[in-house]
Amino acid sequence: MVKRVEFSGDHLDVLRELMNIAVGNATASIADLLKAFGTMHIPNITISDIKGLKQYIQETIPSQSSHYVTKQLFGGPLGGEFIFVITDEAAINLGNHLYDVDAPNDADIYDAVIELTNILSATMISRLTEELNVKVQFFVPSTQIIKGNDLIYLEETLLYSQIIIISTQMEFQNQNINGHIFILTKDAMIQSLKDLIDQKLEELYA
Amino acid sequence: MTKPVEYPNVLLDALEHGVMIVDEEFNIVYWNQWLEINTGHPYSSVMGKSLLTFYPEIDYRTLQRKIRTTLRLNSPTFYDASLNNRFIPIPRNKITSSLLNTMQLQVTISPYIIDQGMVMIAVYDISDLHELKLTLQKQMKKIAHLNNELQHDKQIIDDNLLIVKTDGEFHITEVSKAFNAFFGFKQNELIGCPLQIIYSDKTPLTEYTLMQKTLQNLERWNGEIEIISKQSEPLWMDAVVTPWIESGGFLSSYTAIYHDITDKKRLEILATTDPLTKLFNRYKFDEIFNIMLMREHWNADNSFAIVMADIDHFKQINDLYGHQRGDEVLVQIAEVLRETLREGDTLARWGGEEFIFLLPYVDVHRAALVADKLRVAVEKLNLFVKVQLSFGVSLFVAGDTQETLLNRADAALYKAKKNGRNRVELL
Amino acid sequence: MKILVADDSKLARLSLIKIVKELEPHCEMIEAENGQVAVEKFQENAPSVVFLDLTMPIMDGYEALEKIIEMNPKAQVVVVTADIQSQAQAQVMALGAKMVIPKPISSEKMQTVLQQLVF
Repeated sequence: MVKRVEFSGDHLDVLRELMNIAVGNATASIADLLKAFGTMHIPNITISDIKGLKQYIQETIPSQSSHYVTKQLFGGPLGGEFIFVITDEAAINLGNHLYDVDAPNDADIYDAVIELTNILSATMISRLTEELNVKVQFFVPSTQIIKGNDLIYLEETLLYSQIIIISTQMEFQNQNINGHIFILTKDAMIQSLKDLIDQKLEELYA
Repeated sequence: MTKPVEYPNVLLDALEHGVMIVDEEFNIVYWNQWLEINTGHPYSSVMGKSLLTFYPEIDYRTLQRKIRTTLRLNSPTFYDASLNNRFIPIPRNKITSSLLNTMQLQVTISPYIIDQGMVMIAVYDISDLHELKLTLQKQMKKIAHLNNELQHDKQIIDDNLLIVKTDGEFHITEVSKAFNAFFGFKQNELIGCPLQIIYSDKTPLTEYTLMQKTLQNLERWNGEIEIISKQSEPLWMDAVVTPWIESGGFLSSYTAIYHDITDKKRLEILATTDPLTKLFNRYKFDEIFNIMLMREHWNADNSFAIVMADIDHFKQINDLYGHQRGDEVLVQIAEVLRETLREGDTLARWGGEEFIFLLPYVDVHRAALVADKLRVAVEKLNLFVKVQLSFGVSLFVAGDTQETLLNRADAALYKAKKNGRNRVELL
Repeated sequence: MKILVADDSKLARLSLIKIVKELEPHCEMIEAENGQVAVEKFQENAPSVVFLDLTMPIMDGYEALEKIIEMNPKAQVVVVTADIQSQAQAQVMALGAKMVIPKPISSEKMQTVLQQLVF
């Protein structure tokens, strides 16, 4: 059994503020690099388990559409998984926007989704880790098309894991692009996160 | 221009993947040995030149955007590697498989010297992995297609064939839609019930034991069985029961397929039954007699007997009371004879007032005993008129044919009549 | 000198306070965790500068800004926000803010702000 990490109100407050800043940075970067102006919702932070994650995803992602799901791992003193989910319709619009063609081909769409994910993960995770004074390593992202919202493979080994779910939604009204972002960390990483937040608070109170 | 032999160069040249350094205008600042060897472009010819010179067909707008992102965010960016290769084409030397002619590359763009706008582009050959992925996808498609066909066939079977599946202990696990519809059962009504539940009580025990024995030998059994439908209407089915043996060699289930032969059976019964007494008719008896004759090796201690019986003074009963009452007598006699017989014995109506019996597994004494038992049973009958039967018995011996047996039985019957009626004679 | 910091995040308030204190150790820092408290504290203390976050519960930054300007049209309000969208920026400037700066504020930026508004 994994030891449960307890997050106090203060911890959550700090994490929320950091994510707020991360989200703000992300929209600014996207505007700059992709010339698309978007809004992002205030991120939602939940501490749950794999079943809770599954349920959360089912509530957030509609089951009727097909989705491009990009997953990217990040590592270091703070490691986890960054997931970007976009409907196939929105993905086509994104490909459209980035490749300036009416009908982007499959490869264009895949690459467009990866580009957007790159920017989102790089800004958000980098901002988060920078504020917490640690380095981060990004791994190769991979994209899949999934029908519906079955994003997770429920493995036995994860049944007892504690997971932090940070999620937000991103909208680009003009281009009709709408996507969901999930940042996940589990178990020992949650403890790391807590320790880093404690250090940050200490720094400020000093 | 030769590459300076310095520490970083030596290191980068030792790598098993490609490394190049370019600026925002795609000018090549560094080109490692892997790239030299695999692209065929030597260091000296690429240095300082733009990537465009050698690879004009790449999408540079996208590359520029990725480079800018890398520099602005100080973070690596990637190309998608799941479909086509979207970076430089590098020829692949593999001959034994032809799925990919150029390498499938994993491309990572990392910040190098940000204020000079320089990035490092690393390429990894993931062709083998990609080929595996493509093959797997093809197989998956094939499987999905086969599965579809299977489902289609399964549906047809379920809709049209009367099938019941049971576990090793004959408890029903699955019932086809057609079966339920045909017999009037609801969807899960039969699940968990023993298979016997659908068979009628009238199914002879021998049939059952034969089925069990065959199945125990892990062989397929085929036979005719009577099934009770929900409306309690008996139906005749041709049944094929197959035991299923798992790959480990142990029995896991039984599958029973039924085919409705009720109409055929009804015709058969009509052709073989005497309408009045409901006993077998002569035609059917001949058939059974024939099989019995050819079936086993009979000897003196284990033989079979033919018994012919005739109602004493039946003509008078008919004349005195009328044919309708005469028929009543016939029916009652038939009933008591049937009841008195042992399991395995056969009884038929041989003529207007004659009955015939087939008694297997008897010797001379037993045959006489059984015949007398029948005689007594009829004697004890309490009808509106007194009835009695005369019996002639013949036991099979080596060399006997149907004809000889019947003749002997007939002669014995004649003797019984001559000797006073209501008695048994043996020949 | 008095400075009011309004933000629902304790981290944001602490970070900002720390940066100010490094530059001006004698400055009195007043905290508000939502717009309503911000307006109240503004009335009570009449600070020289107000650092105002936009997304706050009970009363958000836009409303608080309006009320503060209403009370004192010459109030020096600096809107500090995670998300700089041009439309939000324009709206806020129209309501009377002196500046809009992104989070997190660096020391250099803070120095510039204080120099411009206070000195």
